Amino acid sequence: MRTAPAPPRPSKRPRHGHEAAPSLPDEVIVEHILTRVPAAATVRFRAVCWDWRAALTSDHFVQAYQAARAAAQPQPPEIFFFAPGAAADSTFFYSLKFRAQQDASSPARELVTVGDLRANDLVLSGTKPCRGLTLLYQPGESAYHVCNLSTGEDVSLPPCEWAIRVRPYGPHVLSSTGLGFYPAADEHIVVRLFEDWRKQQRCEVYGLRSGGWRPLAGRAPPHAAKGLDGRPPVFVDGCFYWHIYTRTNFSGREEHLYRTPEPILSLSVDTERFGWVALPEVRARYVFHLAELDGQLCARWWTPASPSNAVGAAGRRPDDAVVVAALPHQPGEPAPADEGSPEPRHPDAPARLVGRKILLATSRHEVHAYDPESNSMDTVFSVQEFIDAPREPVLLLNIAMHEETVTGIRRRRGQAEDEARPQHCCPAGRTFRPANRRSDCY
Amino acid sequence: MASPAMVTLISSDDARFEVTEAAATMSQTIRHMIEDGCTDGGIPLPNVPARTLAKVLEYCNKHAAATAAESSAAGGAAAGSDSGSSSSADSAGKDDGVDLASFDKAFVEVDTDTLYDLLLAANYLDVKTLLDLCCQKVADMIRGKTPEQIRQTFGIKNDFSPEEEEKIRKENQWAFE
Repeated sequence: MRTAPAPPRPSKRPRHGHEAAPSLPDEVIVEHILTRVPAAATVRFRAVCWDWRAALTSDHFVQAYQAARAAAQPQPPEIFFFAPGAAADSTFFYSLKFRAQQDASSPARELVTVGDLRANDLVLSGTKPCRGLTLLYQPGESAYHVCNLSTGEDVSLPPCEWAIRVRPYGPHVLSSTGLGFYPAADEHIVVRLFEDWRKQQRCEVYGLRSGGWRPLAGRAPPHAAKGLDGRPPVFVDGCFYWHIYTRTNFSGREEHLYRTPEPILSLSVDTERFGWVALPEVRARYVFHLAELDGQLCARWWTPASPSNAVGAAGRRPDDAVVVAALPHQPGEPAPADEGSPEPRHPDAPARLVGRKILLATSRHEVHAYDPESNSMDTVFSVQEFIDAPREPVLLLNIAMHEETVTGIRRRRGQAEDEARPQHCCPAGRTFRPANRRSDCY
Repeated sequence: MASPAMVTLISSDDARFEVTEAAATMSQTIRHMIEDGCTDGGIPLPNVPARTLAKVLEYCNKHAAATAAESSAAGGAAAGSDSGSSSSADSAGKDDGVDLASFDKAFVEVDTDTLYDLLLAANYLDVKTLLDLCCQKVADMIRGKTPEQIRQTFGIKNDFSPEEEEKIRKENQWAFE
């Protein structure tokens, strides 16, 4: 029996005039074409008609857009960085793709301009977007913003009532905030761990869709906030992880008093309970930063005994380099777990990273590519080549990985929007080269 | 070794096309029909006119031949029987990637009507790589357009009231600047 499949569904959209062009079915346009335009264009196209507006703001489209990018040719890793904008109190965000052979003149792309946000008082929380969204922090104002840097959508969080600014050991030592995702509620959450004015350890959570700060079910352990140094937690697979290191802020009896059972505090977003994660004893004292690498929690540590240690060589302070990503395999280099590799591997290089490089970012606006096998490192990016960068931030990072996504941050329809104040952002499609911009910025 | 299996495809305007099974089965739709044993007397494709089908088959022949050349190069001595696809001039497997990329690029350098026809045919015939290629081409064409230009391109009626349109423009003001 011969069966031909059903013909494609004709478009139901009304036509005006006598368009000669054959009509493409809505499904094909939305699923296959609009998932391939830049994220900022999908925001503009919401104004085409009601059908497009509904389709482009649906959760289904966010997933389809993500799936289309995952299925496409792998793109080179892309970082973003920021600089003071043309208008006072505005910030430009730029992105830059890394190619295998980094070309010094490769252009940076302007992502968005965010008004009402001073670049000199801005740090990033985390080294990569969490499901498309990025958490920005203004230490001077103690203000948090969640932003999609692809579409330019941005929301400012209301102040966290209990988190008054305490400055006993520096401006932001006793507070740490991260962005995660809670699948059961299908929402992004911001979690803030801090010591309040009564010296109580607190952990408050803000749901981007549900809104409002509320305390977590689980109690924050004693002294947890004392060793945070303002560093953000790392969110991996449903858990936040904080590296807690009271030795930095305390010595002698106090250090002993405030010591935590293990150096890594974990928080499951599902159960809202805290736990502890041990590190190998010999390495624990040399770990300064946690990161996410290939979906796993990664602790970067350094060995003071090795003068050629690459991370130490990155700058004057060996603690100032944060793992942001592992680069894909380079063509022609050995595959992972290649037992017959003639070159002896560096003893600390994890097997799955053989043939790959790791990107490390520093607070001095630089990115280095570290080769774990040869224990060597190249500087692959310095923001000074592009712009007069803002000063080194008090807290660490001002460079992170960029992902093109259409993840929305607006609340579901019918919910009050007065608490979370939308800001006005301006995505720009311009590109610029370093030479053009040096003088007119900042 | 026997010459490769051939199948006959029949376009909506009753033109008949003889193609290798390897090229035809790049279409998942045709693959399923062959698996179901619906090939006697040719496979009817009532949604695809001859002009479009010829173009789709040009794409499938090129890609199927490249795939065959690649696997025969990988298979070494075992694959010396590629007589059926001798029409493919590209013999060296390692150049195929570059060659195919430039072929693909030139293939979609067509007028909009032809591109839409190809896209619809690729969607109906379920030739994934061709659908991807056509959709990417359309996406590249529309990425910089304004909402009004988009309406003209796809023949869409603006069903917002002036008030609604103003509200939407304000909501995403930055996207229009």
